[in-house]
Amino acid sequence: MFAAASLRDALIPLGEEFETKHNIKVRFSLGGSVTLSRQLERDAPGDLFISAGDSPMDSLEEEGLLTPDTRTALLTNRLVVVVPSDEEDEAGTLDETLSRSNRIALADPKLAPAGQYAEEALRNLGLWDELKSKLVFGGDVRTALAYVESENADAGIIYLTDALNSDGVRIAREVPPESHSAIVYPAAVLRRSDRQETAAKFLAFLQEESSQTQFQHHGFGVPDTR
Amino acid sequence: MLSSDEFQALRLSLQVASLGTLLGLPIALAIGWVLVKSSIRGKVVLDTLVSFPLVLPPVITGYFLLLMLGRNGPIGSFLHDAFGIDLVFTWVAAALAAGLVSLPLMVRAIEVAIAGVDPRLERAARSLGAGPLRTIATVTIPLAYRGILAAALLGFARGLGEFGATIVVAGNIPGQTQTIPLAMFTDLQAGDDGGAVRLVVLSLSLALISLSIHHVLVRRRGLLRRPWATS
Repeated sequence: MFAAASLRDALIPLGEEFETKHNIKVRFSLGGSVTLSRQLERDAPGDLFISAGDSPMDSLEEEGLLTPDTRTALLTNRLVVVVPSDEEDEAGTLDETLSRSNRIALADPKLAPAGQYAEEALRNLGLWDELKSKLVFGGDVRTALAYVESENADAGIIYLTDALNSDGVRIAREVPPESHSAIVYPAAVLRRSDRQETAAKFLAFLQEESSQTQFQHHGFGVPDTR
Repeated sequence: MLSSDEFQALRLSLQVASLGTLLGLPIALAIGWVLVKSSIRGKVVLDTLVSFPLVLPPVITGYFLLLMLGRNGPIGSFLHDAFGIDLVFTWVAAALAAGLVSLPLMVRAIEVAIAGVDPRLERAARSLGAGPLRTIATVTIPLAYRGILAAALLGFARGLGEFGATIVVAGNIPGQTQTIPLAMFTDLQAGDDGGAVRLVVLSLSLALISLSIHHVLVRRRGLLRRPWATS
């Protein structure tokens, strides 16, 4: 299972549940979706891929690496600005909060959709040029989260789900969803996998109501085109 | 030929390796001298400590630096509170990482250089009234200068190639801390094969240049021969 880093807290328990129920071992490779997509293009052994955005999945589709008719939109997410949890609550707008910070952590836009959405939002809000020199890139959104948790960055732009699952950060502001493309997580079975049936089974399991409830507990949303 | 980001990576690599070597060399000199010439107790402990950055995975060395220099670390919190300075995620942190991982290499090379100085010359200087520091400055170092230069070059070359410690304590920020190895890593992960190839060529060129200079420095004058030995 190659999956976006932001799915860690929700997916691993679901994987364990599936393991116990069906007696099938589930292993995860988590990271920035672009990084994972490139690995899969180079024959990395994956059975199922869940990306935090469409374009890493699209590149695999264009190379004919997805099993036809298995691609489906699984989840949605939102972007937020976080600060270390023991920082005092200061009022202000989004750009005030960001301008005040010395270092803003994000996922690297070259490696993860989380970074791409953040860059898109900052550009659309006219803040990119001003804040560019303060940005610190992590290899995926969880690394960005860790930078804020350790207080080496004083703000970060990460997913709502990552913020909710961490005690080390506090949500300061929500990033207006209109400032970036919709955050959708497509999932698909990989054509080169020898475990087509099992992968499809796991994907179906993730779409069951109990799994979806789990995802929502962690802050994920449901795509409404279903 | 090189993109703007790649040019930045080259500039940063040279900057980081230079500062790292500049900071590490005096320390390596001091430690090298102590290990060869002094008879203090606990030399074994010093020797072991100095070897750590060589034997430990660089990521661990980087983590150690992060703990020290981070906002909540002993050195980091002091620098932040007293001067408003945060070193983590800056090129200076990258330089410290480069210097630290090159330290064991420089110490070893300097030990060889210092051990190659005829001790009779040093004793002569002392018997003529020169104190220990003056002897080191006017006799030992000038006589060992080729080896010391070679040590610096070795440290510089190692600093150019540093990755694990750098990425942990300085992050991978294009234009600020993204040295050549880090840029290479991002290109690989992002699938930029063209960029990766250019960086490989760049790295090979830099490596060849530094190693050639090192070879010239070490080869001439038979650094490893000891002309005063009678056997």
